[in-house]
Amino acid sequence: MLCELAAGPEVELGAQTQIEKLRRRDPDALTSVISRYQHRLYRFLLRLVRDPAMAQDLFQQTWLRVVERIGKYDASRAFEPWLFSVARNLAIDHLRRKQPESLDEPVETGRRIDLLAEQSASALDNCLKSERIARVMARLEELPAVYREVLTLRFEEEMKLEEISELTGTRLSTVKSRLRRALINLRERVEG
Amino acid sequence: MSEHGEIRKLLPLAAAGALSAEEQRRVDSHTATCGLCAAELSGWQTLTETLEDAPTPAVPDGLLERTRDRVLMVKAVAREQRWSDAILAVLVLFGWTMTFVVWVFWRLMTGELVLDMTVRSATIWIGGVTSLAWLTAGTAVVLMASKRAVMRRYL
Repeated sequence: MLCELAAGPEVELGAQTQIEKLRRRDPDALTSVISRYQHRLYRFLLRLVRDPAMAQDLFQQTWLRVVERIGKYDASRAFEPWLFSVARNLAIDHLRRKQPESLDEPVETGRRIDLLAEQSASALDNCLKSERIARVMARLEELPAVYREVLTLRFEEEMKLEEISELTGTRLSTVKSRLRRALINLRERVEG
Repeated sequence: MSEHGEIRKLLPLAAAGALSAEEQRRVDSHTATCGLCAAELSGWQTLTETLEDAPTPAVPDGLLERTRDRVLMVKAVAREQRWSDAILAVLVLFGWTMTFVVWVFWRLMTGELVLDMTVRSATIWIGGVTSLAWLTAGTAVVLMASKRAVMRRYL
């Protein structure tokens, strides 16, 4: 998202043009639109389902669904939330069907949080940073799907809370409390 | 709850940039004077920055091409199915039309009036020819449905 914003309005205009072409069933636009969103969409699906093979299948299913329903997409609204909501619905169906996991709110554990006093500023910064990222991402995978979703939407997709609320069809206050609990849960695991 | 306790509850969301302007102002004002909360906030910020810095997983090679090919194939199959449906509908209509045309034609050729027929001959015509038409159409529908099921399994 950052790259797209940094690239300026011309790129955004190009994206809108491609989406408009896709709406008119132009097959050439398909490759260009998939290419544009493939990294973020694959990452989002992978975070939700955690299985690369399933993420790939859902990725393909998402684009099939997009092409099938592009006529229903309201062009006056942003394409990304619509695209991600299509992917999300497919991922939810998969999680409900294949695993005893849902995007419903998990029960609070109420465990105490300790301080994270990590202040690295040495020559090994990069190494430590990579290690820290790997550790955090490994712990992220252990979280319930509902927490993984809100964290990836907020920090990787850089969506605003209002956008997350719209995409997930939940109230803003719910998104806020879910985000807070997700962070607390993650930190407990990272420090535990 | 004390101001200190309330602020501590807000710290994860402060690090996530998810507070309202008023809440953010309260957090900023409190952490400017409370070392404990400032350290706690720093811990949350480390966590959120780590999440922001996480590398995007690489998209598997060829996923884009496979996706495009699958979408185009499904569209082609859907197009073919629409044609098959249209052809089937035309054939069924044609079969029904021919049933009645041949009936009328036969009655005229044999010199009998169209409406002047016995119950027996009407039963033979309507029962026999209609059954044949339905059987043919039914077989075609079953064959097409089975073809569709096979295609759906592979797509």
